[in-house]
Order: sequence, then C-alpha cells, then structure tokens
Amino acid sequence: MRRSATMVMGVVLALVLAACGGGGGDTTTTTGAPPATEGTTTTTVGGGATTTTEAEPSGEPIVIGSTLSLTGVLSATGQIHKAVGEAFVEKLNSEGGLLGRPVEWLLFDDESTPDRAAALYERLITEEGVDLIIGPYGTGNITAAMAVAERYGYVFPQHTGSLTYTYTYRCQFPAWPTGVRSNITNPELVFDAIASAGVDSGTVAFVVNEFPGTQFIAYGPPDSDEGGAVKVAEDRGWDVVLEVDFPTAISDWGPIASQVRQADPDFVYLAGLGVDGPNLINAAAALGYQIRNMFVQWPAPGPLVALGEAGEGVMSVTAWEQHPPFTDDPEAAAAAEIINQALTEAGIPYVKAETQSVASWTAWEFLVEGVEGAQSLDNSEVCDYLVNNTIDTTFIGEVDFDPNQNNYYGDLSFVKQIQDGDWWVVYPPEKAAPGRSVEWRSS
Amino acid sequence: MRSRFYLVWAGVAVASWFIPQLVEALGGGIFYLVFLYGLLFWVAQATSWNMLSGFAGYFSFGQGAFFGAGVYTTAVLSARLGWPLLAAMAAGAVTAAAIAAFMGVVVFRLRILKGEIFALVTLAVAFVLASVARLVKFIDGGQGVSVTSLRLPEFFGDFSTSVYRAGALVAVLAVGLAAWIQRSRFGLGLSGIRDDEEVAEGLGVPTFRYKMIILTLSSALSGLSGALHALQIGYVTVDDVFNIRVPLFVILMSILGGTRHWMGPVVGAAVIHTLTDRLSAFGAENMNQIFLGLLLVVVVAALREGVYRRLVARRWVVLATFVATLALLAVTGWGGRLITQAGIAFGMAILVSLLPARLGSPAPAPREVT
Amino acid sequence: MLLEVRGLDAGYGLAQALWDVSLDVAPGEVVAMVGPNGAGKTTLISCLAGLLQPWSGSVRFDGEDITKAPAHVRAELGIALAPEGRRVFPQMSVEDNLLMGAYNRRARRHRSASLAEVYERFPRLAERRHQPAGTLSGGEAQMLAIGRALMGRPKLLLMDEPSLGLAPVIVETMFDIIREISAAGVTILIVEQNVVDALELASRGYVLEEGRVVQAGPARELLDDPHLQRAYFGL
Ligand SMILES: Nc1ncnc2c1ncn2[C@@H]1O[C@H](COP(=O)(O)OP(=O)(O)O)[C@@H](O)[C@H]1O
Ligand SMILES: [Mg+2]
Repeated sequence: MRRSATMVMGVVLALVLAACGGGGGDTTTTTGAPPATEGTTTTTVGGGATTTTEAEPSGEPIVIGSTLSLTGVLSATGQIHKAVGEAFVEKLNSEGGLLGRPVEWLLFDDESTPDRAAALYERLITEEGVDLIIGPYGTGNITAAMAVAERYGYVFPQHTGSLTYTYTYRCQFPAWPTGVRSNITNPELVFDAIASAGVDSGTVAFVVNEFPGTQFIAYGPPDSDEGGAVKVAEDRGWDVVLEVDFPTAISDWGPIASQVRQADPDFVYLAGLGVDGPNLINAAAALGYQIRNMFVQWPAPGPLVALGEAGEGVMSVTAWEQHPPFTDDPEAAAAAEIINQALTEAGIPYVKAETQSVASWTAWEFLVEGVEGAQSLDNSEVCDYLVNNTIDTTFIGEVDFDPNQNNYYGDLSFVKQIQDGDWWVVYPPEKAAPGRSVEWRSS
Repeated sequence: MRSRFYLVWAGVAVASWFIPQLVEALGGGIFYLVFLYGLLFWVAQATSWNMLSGFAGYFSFGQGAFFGAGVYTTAVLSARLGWPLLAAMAAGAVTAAAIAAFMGVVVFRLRILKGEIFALVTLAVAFVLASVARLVKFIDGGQGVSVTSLRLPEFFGDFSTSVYRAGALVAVLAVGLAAWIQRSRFGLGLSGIRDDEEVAEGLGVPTFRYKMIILTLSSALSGLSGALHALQIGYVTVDDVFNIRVPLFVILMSILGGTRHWMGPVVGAAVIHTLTDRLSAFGAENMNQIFLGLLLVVVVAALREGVYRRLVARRWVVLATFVATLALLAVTGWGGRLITQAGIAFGMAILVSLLPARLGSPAPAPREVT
Repeated sequence: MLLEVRGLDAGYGLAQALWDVSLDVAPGEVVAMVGPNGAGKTTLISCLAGLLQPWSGSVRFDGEDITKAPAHVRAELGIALAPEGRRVFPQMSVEDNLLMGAYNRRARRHRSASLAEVYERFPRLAERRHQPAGTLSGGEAQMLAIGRALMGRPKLLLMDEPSLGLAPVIVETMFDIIREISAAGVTILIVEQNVVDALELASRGYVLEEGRVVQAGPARELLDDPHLQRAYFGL
C-alpha cells in the first residue's frame, strides 16, 4: 500500500514538474497579434480602428487586466463599467494608443465576489503577465483586488471603492471623488441639501445594506467612534426612529418595508446600492405605503427613474450629471456622448453619463495619464508620477492625490434628485441644473 | 519502520521548500507558486476534513467554521491588534481547536447527535460563527478586515514564495499526520468508530476521547491553514470566508479521491483544484459546477471507494496515459500553456482510471491498515 | 465468582426494561440466560459490557466493582462481547476486524499469537482475511464476531444470541464451536432465545421474562422443568 501511495504522489509531482518546465515559453506573443491569452472573455479592442486622425498605434499591445462583476449581484452596474471601459479603450487606440502601442483589455468576470476578484487579479498579474491593471467594480471586490495589487506593486486606479479609510496602499488612485471621510462629508452634504429646502430636522429611518461600503457610510469605521450618517443625523437634531440592516442578497423586502411603514419617518436614508431603492419602494407600495422622502446612497440610476411616479423625489449623490453646468465644458460633453453611445450599444437602459460611468472613465484616464506622464510601463514609475503630479481629467477637473488622505482629494459629491422623470443635481446651488432645487414632501 | 516514516515526510517537507528555486531554474513564473499554494491549501483543508469525516465517519458540514475561525482570528489579531503574524496564526489554530473542542464536549456527550444530526450541528456552528463575525464590530462588523501589510519571516522569501512555502509546510504536516494516524492504533480505533461505534467502544476503543482528539486535531489544522489563507486573501469578508465553498469543496475532494485512505483527499484536491483553476483560466468559471457535479455523480455511482484506489490499481495505464497525452499536446501545441496541457493530461489520466473495470485492470479488494 | 450482578434495574429513557436482575458466573462456567424476544436479554448484556448505564444495582467483575466503568475499561479488564446480529465492521477487512478485537492493551501484546489461533479455529476467516467483512455470509460473520471477541483474550465472553438468523445446520456448528471455546477454558455467559441448545451447552441457566429473572438453576433441571417445557416447547 505504501508503495502505491508513493507512486501516486510521484504522478502528482510529475504533473507539477512538467507544469513548471515550460513556464517560460508560453507567454511569448508575436508582434501585432493578440497575445496567446486563454481567457475567453478577452475583449480585444485594438489595432484595427479605421478612422483615425493620429498615428496608428503599432508594436506589441499593452495588456491591461481587470475583472468586473459581469454576473452576480453587482452585475447591473458591472455592465456599465464594461461598456465604458471598452469605449475608452477604443477611443484610446483610435487616438494613437498608449506610448504609441495598441492597448488590449483583458477582462474576467469576478461573479461579484471579492475572493474571486482577488484570485483573478493574481492570475492576471502572475499568469497572464498583464502590463497594467485597473480596478474592478464594487467595494468588496476593489478592496480585495487592491490587496493583490499592493502585493505585486501594481498601480491600481479604481472606480468606486468606498472603504476609503482602509486604502493605505500608496499606488491606489480613487476615481470616485468622495473624499477619505465620506462617512461624514457625504451625509453632511445630504442633510445640508435638505436644510436648503427649509427642513432642519424631523424623523429619519436608516435602512442599511450589510455591504461593507454602506456599513461604513452609515456607521463609520469599525475601530473608531467617529460614526457615520446615523451620528451625523443625530448630531444635527434629527430623530432616528428606525435603524435596520439587511443582507446584500436580500430576497424578501416585506419585513423591512413594514418596519419603515410602522416608523413612518419624514425621511428614509437608504444606505443601499444597485436596485435596493426600487425594491424598498415597491415593497412599501405593496403594503399600501408611500415613503415621503428618500435618499439612496449608490443606486443604479436607471431602475429608479424607470419607476415613474413612484421614483419621483428620490435623492442620491453624484460626481457628475449630464446637464448644465456640467456639460458647459465641451470636452466633458463630448466624452459624455461617447458614453451615451457605448451604453446604448450595450443595451443598458439608462444611458446618461453619471457617477458610475464617469468614475469608470476617470480611472482609465488616471492610468493613461500616469503611463504617458512617466513615459514608462514600470508600475512604480507610473505610481510615482501620479502621486507627484497634478492629473488633468475630463469630468472632475484637476486632481491632486494626497498621500496623507489615502490619495483622496476632497469630497466632490453633489446631491441629485429625480424630478420630472430624470435625475438633476439640486444641491449645492452653483452646481444645480438651471432652475432646480431640492423638493421636499412634508407630512 | 517508524524512523523511515518520519524521514520520508521530513524529506517531502524539505523538497517542497526548494520547489520555488526549481520553478525559477526551469523558467516558470510566480504563477506556478500561486497555483501550487492553492493546491496545497485544498490538500490541507480536505485532509483535515477527512480525518474527522473520513477516518472517524463523523460527516461534517462545518469545515467553514474552523477555517473561518482561523482566518478571522489571525486577521483580527494581526491587522487590528498588531500581534506578530506567527503568533496570530498560532492563535488562529488554537481558536479553531477550542471552538471544536467545546462543540465536541457538548455533541459527543449526547449520543443522539450522530449522523445527519452531527452534520447539521456542525453547519449550525458555522452559521453562528458567521453571524457573530458579522455583528461584532471588533471582528468584522460588516466591513471586512484588510490584511495587506502582513508578511511571513524574511527567510520564507518574497510574498508568493513565502505563502507557498508556509502552505506547503501546513499541507505536509496535515498529510503526514493523516498518514501516521492511518497506520496507528489510533487510526484503527477511528475506523472502528466509523464502522460501528458501539461495538468499537465495547472492544476497548475509548471512543469519546478519540473523537475529541480527532475533532480537535482536524479543526486545528483547518484553522492553521485558514490562518495562512488570511494572508493570501488580503481582504477578509464574512460572505467569502463562511461561504459554502470550503465545506462543499473539501467534501467533494475527499469523496472523489476516497475517504478511507490519506491519499484520497490529496488526489481529490489535486483533481478538483487543477480542473477549477484551468476552467477559471479559460474564463469558464461557470462551468465549474457542472463539471464538479458530473464528476461527483460518476464517482458516487461507479466507484464508491474513490479515484485513488483506481489510480493505484491501474497505475501503469494511468501513468502511460498521462505521459502520452502530455507528449501529444506538447508536440502539437494544443491546449496553450504547458500548465493547461498538464491539466488536460492529468484529466485524461483520471478519466482512464474511471473507465469500467473490463477496459482496465481489475480494481483490487479494498484493504485497510497494513 | 468471576461475575456478580446484584439487583440490576435498567431501561431506556423512561421505559424500564430490567427489574432487579441478579446473577452469578463462576470461572470456567458456561451460563445461559434464556428468554423470549423482548425479555431484556440484550439490555442485560449491554449493562454488563458497559454500553448501557444501569439505573441501580451493581456489577462486580473479578472482585472489582465495575458498575460505573465505561466499556473500554471493561474490555481492558477482560470482558469481551460477541454482539447480537454480529455487528462486524462492514467496511474493514476480516483481518482488521480481528485486530480490532485485540484493541485493548492487555490483548494487544498477544495479537499475533491470537490471530494465528483464531485462524486455526476458523480457517474460513483465514481464507477471507483481506475481504471486507460486510461481504461475509451470516455464518462467517458470526464466526468473525466470535473470533474478534476471542482476540481480546477475554476472561469472560458475553454472547448475545449467536444462533440468531442462522440456518439450522450452521446453528449446530456454532454451538459446537462455543463448546470448544469453553473447553479451552473461557468463561461464557450466553443469552439465547434458542432455549434447548443454550441449556444443553450450559452448566447453569436463568430464565428472563419481561425483564425479571423468573427461574434459575442447573441447566439440566431447567430443561426438564414442566413450566419451561409448556412455555417454550409447547409440551
Ligand atoms: N434502544 C432502545 N430504546 C428503547 N427501548 C428499547 C431499546 N432496546 C430495547 N428496548 C426495549 O427494551 C425491552 C428489552 O429489549 P431487549 O433487551 O432488546 O430484549 P431481547 O434482547 O431479550 O430481545 C423491549 O421492550 C424493547 O422494546
Ligand atoms: Mg436481543
């Protein structure tokens, strides 16, 4: 028996050795052709653009790797990032590529789970040998992937990570301008907006997704008593009448909605994301209850608008919306139109540029600025360049990464609200759409 | 005999330490270490599960509880409280063992908690731990724990090398222990407990003590392996750590490989990890479940004793298939990377071992401890 | 006395199965406890083997009070059990089953010799030593159960219905084997529904009915007892 066991171990060992033996040779690629990657989800957008005004990119493609939540609970938003990323890469290649070389985006599906994301980033870096990476979607996935990026010293531009206080990695560059203390600054902004409608206090219900980022926004970092939205509300004299958490993969909203109806607050602060908003509104409607005023932290923009009358008045935060004064900048307006087209082609219901698509675009810009600025694909050089220089972006202006604030650069959020069937920035006044301000339903 | 046994396992441990040098000398990338770490992680987990559920027959759904206790103890102690990593890892193993021991004292005293009931109790323990981790802010509080700045001692090498080496040591420890147990009087007693606990007790097997020992040992190993895994994950979340993946995979791996021999989980882990890893490299993650399901049906229906015994019975045919397939793929270049080709060849070898008896050499009658 | 049982009450949950059972086994004796199905024979054997804790009463073995001792301690002291329904370890090989019989420390020292003796007594088992025990026939499995108990080098062998479910021819053989074992100097307590064969084998007997010892005496006298003849042989 022992000899047999040794025998089989030998087979396993043989497998391992054989596997290691040819490691060197199989990533070589011929110039011009896509590399011999195995991923079937490879998105090759390179080389062949026909209408270009600038020089055709040439040489071996630069491979940028990432994952996105193409399936799973975060897939609705993951698809937006996919469409925007593809549009960005196509534009980049049509304008001469990166360092004169074509860019190829190698994309895997992380199924909306952090551990898949981390494993796939490790694969992208170690097995696929990608030159650069860009972050996935969703706080958990971003945080997990960032750990891998740090391990291998890769520059990590990321769209929408929300555990700001944990992002101590020097080469992570957040494209979502929430500031490092978004747990305080975001809620302050929201209650300021409400105050602008003449409402200084009232009853408020907090309905909080167990998702890491929304937990952080609502309650603050776990190892401090800094607090979050709940504390902000209390400090401002609001009466917190309900505080309830719900699992990210919740299927039955009935019990939550009935607690909200019971509490009947003036204001529901839904620290939720994706389609949590429509779900809560619908569940409340099924109980014959209409929520008077509601804020949703990070909603998928489309479904709330699609609710029609029931979605009217819902508020959220945004970094950019496709209306004046934001579209007064012609470059931003043009980029927004590219996004519109990409989202339309991808069959995504809500095609206007807003927080998600803008953050996506901006993250890609960080990468491009960093590489072009450093004139190098060396991740540490790119990182240094980004840390030490002011980076110009299309949507959110000039960005100065502050290493003392985990590379954040202040909270540049604005409050938006659904009015007349679409989102409009309503606060602060200097960023509000012409003629728009916060609308509030009193009891 | 005994000293040769220790020598062999010490040799395996030393050899695995130098694999990174070998990989480098052969021109292989870090990826091979990442792959091997994953493999060894599953070997350790499946072996740990099999000690309790295969050797002693106490089927557990609770592997995630012990694994998770190891992960979270290490993450919290090192990342939040600044403990030295090795101390935090040891604490991870001890915590897992302590939780298991507490569960064992309660569960094993009550004779009715056997079979399905035991399996459900272990599942419940995992649920409770997950909820505690989620609710207690100091542990997780719903925001996960970042474990990014921790490193093993310098002499383990750079990050990937060090994690691989530590993983190899844990796996060798687990498998060596399992092999030792199977040969020992203790292991014979466990077999008795698995087949008929009451009779075994009547024949002089101190069943309560043995069950406590194997449960504690199994969970300590799982916790230790989890403690190391916290480092590899980097960002620890309740949903991922207490996921059904770990308990499900260790069960699949052990049953596939065979639960009655210490090599069973090793073979099962190798097959399933290679398969899932290669499918994932092809971006065909979603196919995993289908493949695993089919594989399990075949094994449960066709060969109860697991793949390992078939491999042994048909070792030459299997080896020939492996070498021939690999050679063919290497020459033709089909399959892409060599690791994929090796994976395919490995799969073919396993398939051949699974063919009905008439096509291969007959399987021998199962044998126990020699 | 090798075994002294006094005033044993036992049961399951709230249901009492034994009332005030007392019995003695002297060294070298074969004692039979006979009684119909459900009388409490297996319950008694379980109490003696340590698999069931009696409610009250005492069990002394070799002069020592073992009422509270767990089963594995009793095995160490020299009590071996051939359980009802054989209960071999089905997935283990015949040889491993036998080795399990020598599990206790005392017997372990002699296990090679014991193994040789058992194979000599049961050549069928030697032929099938590498076969999983679950594949044995009923008679073979009973031989294995007895062989396994003998591997423990017992001072007292407890046998729970060794003839249960066996073909008549095989039952004959089985009792011959038990006779031989006894002749080799092993003290035996056998519980049986098969009253005639058991009492013919034994020197003394007890009759158990509904959890109580209703009769006791030399085996020959019990066989001739009119009450027993009416009850069990329909005479
Ligand atoms: N595990 C048990 N749980 C509950 N009652 C039992 C159990 N085993 C036996 N009994 C009951 O105890 C009584 C004696 O059973 P038993 O000792 O098995 O009788 P015998 O061996 O003489 O056939 C019967 O009434 C039986 O139903
Ligand atoms: Mg009985």
